[in-house]
Amino acid sequence: MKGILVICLAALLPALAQWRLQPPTAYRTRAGQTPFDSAASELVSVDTVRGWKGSVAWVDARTRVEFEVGHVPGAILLNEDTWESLLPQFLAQWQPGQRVVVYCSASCESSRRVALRLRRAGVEEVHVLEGGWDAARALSP
Amino acid sequence: MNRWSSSTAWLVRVVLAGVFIWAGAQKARHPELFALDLEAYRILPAAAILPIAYYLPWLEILSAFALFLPSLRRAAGWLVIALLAIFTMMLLIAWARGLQINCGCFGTAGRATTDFVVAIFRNILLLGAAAWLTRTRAPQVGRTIRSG
Repeated sequence: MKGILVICLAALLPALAQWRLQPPTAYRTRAGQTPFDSAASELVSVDTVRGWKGSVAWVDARTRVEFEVGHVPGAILLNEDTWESLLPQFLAQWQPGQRVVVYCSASCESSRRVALRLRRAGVEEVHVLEGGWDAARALSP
Repeated sequence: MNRWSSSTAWLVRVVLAGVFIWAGAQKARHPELFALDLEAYRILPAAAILPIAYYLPWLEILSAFALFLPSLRRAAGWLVIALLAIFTMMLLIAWARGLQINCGCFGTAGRATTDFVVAIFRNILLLGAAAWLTRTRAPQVGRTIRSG
């Protein structure tokens, strides 16, 4: 029992150090809140996006096959499998300050992971489309 | 413990520790992504997710190293068993719910969608290995034999 306690307490040290050195700034809860700023919201609906002024950069986090079948006009494919190869292309097309909306299939979690990675890559305002591609279809011609 | 058993225990320890160090390191590289994986299970309370995402990888890593320290070996074995039991339980719950998620088992090195059957089977194997390790005892050294 003492040994278990020793290991558990010892693991606290690097964890706390990492929290201090690499604080969680990009994570958003499912409710759309950051741990530190409840006003920041990750999930947005299609209606909200339609109401925004200014252009939106759409990111499709699905597979290439799904992307080629259909996607939001102007959307850029960027998923975790192709992250390293496609991120530069996205960053070249994205304008600093431009809102980014990520979507994937309705039931997948990829969009949130891609959104988090984009924040860590320096993209400030990144949102996830509520309802995913099923909701985004309404924006396709 | 005979030589065969001792060598096997060593090999099992190396494999078990290797898996845990690799898994822990991959999670520790991107704790926020691991937090998303934890959240996807929809089991943990929101306030607990980030602390666990930062702490759990290091617990895995240190438990793995402790498997090689004689004074902490058994404690580490029990910790590994407890962690694997918890992981397996979470996988079973997610599978029963029909969730299509990344289990977060190996951080960003894992597949986008986990094959639950494979993951659960793998965990059961590792659990068995850890349980076997915890049952075996190292040979006692330093016993003196008194002769009359």
